[in-house]
Amino acid sequence: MRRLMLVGLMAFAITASAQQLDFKVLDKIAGKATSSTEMGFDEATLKSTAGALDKKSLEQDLAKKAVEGLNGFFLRAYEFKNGDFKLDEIKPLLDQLKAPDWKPFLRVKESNELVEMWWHVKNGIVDGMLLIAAESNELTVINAMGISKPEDLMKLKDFGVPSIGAPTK
Amino acid sequence: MSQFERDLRESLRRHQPPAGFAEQVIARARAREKRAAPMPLRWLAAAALVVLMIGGVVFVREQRRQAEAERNKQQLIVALQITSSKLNRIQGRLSAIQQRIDELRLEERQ
Amino acid sequence: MTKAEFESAVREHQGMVYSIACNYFHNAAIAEEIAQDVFLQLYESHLSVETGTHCVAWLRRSTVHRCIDTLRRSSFRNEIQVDLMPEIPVDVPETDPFLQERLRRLIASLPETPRAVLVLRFGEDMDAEEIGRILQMPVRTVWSHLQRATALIREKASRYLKEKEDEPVRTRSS
Repeated sequence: MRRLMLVGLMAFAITASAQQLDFKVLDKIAGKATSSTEMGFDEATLKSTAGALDKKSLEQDLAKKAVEGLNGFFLRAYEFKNGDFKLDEIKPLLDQLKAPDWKPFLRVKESNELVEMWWHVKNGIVDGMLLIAAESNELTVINAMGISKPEDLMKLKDFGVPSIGAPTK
Repeated sequence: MSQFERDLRESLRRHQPPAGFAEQVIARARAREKRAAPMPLRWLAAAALVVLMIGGVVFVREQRRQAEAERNKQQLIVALQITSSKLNRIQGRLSAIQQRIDELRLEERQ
Repeated sequence: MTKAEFESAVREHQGMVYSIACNYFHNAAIAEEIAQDVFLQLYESHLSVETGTHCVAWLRRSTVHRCIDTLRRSSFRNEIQVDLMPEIPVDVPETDPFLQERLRRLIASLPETPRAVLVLRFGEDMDAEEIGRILQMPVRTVWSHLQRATALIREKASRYLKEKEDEPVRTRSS
């Protein structure tokens, strides 16, 4: 039985214009989740948090590098009991991507799974990434603002994956 | 054992998962643990309340700022772990797309 | 289960869990996802693992049940077009890769329960009693599934199997 967990309260107010996407459309889905993770860092908070990371800690040093150049990071991750969540419930979120500044990069839909990645483009330049990964009992939405090249994406992908070095005793 | 049984066993032999599988699983487990660990937050809130009761308002304000900064750091790390985990899961699909893009570029040049 | 025990269990048994799922679906992506979910389920179950055997049994049971559930929920089904299997030359080496692939596809096309029985019997070398415990069915039902499934596979793969001992020896009449 999963415990109800609610962590990562947004400790600051974010104006709608600071985000590339309105996550409030997910509030209804969030209400049904058995487990919920919601985090948001606008530009100022991201810079101050990254500045406070300790380079002496490998994990924090990698985190610092991963968010370098980002000016916003928003994450919503939910888990559900089987049957409580349907893929078409994220339609209000997907409808926002019909705006001309969103360009699809990867779109995969299988029977009970959906994965989509989008670039946000402003004045012809990529300035953000959106990842939506949805299954029957899980939904994750991540908006990383400030990503402008594939290398930025790779830094996020490689965070937390340890390099495999020689075995030590 | 008949040849047919030998063939069946051979066709169902063990396979190794992709490289990095164990590390991905362990990272996901750690991310879930961090999501489920409110203990430090409750502890800090209790300490802040005691100090308020004896009138240390300025001190409490500083403690809260530091606690919030620490919380933000931990949340950022958890957020990055979740992101990394999701991106790694779709890596196979990204590689396939990159390969197709490279093939199309090659065809255009020819 | 401590963190160290969990990490050790992942490294030691990742091949087993992944293989069961891979052999069940003949699909590496699905197998990887199922294997990840099984280990996360192990982590969240706070299982008190008394012995290595206990952990293996738990992982096998969990993996098979998850495979069966996934197949039931999914509209994804392997369709085996037997006629489209590649032709193979008459003289084939002892370990015939085409045969192996054909067998894997045929196994992955079986209904959910006989498929699980075959994978556990020939992939994990489990006996009927152990399989019965995992699938929660009597031993005679396990044997029944095993016999029917192997007969079906053998019939479909009969063009490519060489079981000389069953073939009558033909002689030319002079």
